[in-house]
Amino acid sequence: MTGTKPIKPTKLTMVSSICAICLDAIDKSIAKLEPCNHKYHIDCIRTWHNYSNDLNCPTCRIETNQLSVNIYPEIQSPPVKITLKTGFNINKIEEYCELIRRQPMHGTTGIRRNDYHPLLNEEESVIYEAISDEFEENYDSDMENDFDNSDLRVAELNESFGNILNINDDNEANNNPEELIGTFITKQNDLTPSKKQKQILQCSICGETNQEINICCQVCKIIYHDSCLRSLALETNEPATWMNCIQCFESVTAFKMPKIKDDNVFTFNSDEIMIYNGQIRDINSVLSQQLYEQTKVKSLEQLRIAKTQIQSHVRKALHELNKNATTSVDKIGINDFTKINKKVSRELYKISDYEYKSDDIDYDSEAMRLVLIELVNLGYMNHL
Amino acid sequence: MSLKRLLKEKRLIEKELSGYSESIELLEPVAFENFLKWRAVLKGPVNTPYHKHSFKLLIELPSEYPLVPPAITFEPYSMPHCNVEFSTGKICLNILEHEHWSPVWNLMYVMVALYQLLQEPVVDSPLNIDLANILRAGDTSAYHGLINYYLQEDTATH
Ligand SMILES: [Zn+2]
Ligand SMILES: [Zn+2]
Ligand SMILES: [Zn+2]
Ligand SMILES: [Zn+2]
Repeated sequence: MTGTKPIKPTKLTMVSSICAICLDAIDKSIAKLEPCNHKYHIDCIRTWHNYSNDLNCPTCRIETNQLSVNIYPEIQSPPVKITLKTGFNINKIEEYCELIRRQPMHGTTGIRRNDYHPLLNEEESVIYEAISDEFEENYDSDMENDFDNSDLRVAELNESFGNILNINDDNEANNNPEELIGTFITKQNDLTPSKKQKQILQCSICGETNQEINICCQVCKIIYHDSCLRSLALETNEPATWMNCIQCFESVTAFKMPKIKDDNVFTFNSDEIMIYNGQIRDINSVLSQQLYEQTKVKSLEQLRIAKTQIQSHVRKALHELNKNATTSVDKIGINDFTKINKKVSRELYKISDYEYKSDDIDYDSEAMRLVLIELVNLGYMNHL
Repeated sequence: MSLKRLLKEKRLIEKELSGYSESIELLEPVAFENFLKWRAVLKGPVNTPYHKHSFKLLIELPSEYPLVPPAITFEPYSMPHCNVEFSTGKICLNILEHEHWSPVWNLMYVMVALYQLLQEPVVDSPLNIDLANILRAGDTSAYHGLINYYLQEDTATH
């Protein structure tokens, strides 16, 4: 063993608003280790603890026992405490939320505060309570937008459940949550007026709504037939890219299309139901899961903006190189141009975490760097 | 996690090294297209036999970095030091071992640690037995003499 003497941290790690593991700013979801109070992103510290097989703080090396997570610091909610030693079992919470949500008469707030699940210990109940605060938040804003009073919501729910009972003479369908949601939304003759936009669950390429839909993009929350993606990729002469979403270029994943009765179309309210982890999920249950997974689901619009801005740097680099090309051989052909543009942009999204961060990242030089690599790979040697 | 963090590290290192650094002459990726291979040049600390010499290092970053430590070696046959294997440049430093590494450390931090190792060799875990024995015996002038000999040899042959 050599050099056991502790060394002073360099400036890189001294700033407290920076997560010392990824060097990114900590804005939301601050995870504070206790008792030492060192702060990290929840993702980063949990990844590390998984890796290190101990619960020591990577900065001060003290053994920690609790993680205090402030998910929305701006609303001053009490931090969620995660007991590291027992570990936190999200499944129990989810299971409970699901259970409560499926009860027809669960009232207006979705979950009542004091209905602690018998499976939850005291710790988990605290976390659970924090989650239900979240639900109430969401629900309240819904109320403002869409309803005059809470009774309407109850009426709507009762109406819907009434419909389920009427449609399905065979009760076995009610036992399957997916079918339950399916029928719940399929029945359209709502008497309650709703301003919410109903969407049809359909392939984003061909518009079909059949059972064969089997692919989704986690980022864009849209679904495809794998056959549609394949033939589109063939059409654009890039058969290898069929595994990428046509909107954001991220890899697509498998999707489980919910079962639908007869030739009904699966419609849904985009603020109640979403595509998540390859399935149709209730947005609230996804929310609670995300509190823990901290999946950064950026809105499609945000992504589009970031994408356009990032791509403009890549195009700029490519145009600059073409402008300086002395011979026609050096000029980048249209096919290569598109290919490089796509590939480099994708790389830059990843680096930027799908956000446009012009303060952190020098996009012009990063774009140029990556474009040059691609050019070398394609045999355009003269650009160097 | 890796590439994005490395970009940030690179930017911060550039910033830090734009001014005068007592210990580091160079710390940069070997090539613009590969952030997983870095090179560094460490300055010899004052009041050590290494003073007025500089030492090349090769750094390889595993793709899991910073969850696992960087792999760092001195240039072979360039560093006569108790805790460095002369022929390979292999370094014995606990913070570079998996079980002691922390993800909050970074390349800059590791360089500073290596600089301190040049100032304070540790005789308990030697990779250069000759030097460790002389140092253990407390023969400072022989110790300095041997290091100087190695260093001169190195300058002569290269
Ligand atoms: Zn982090
Ligand atoms: Zn700590
Ligand atoms: Zn289709
Ligand atoms: Zn997408």
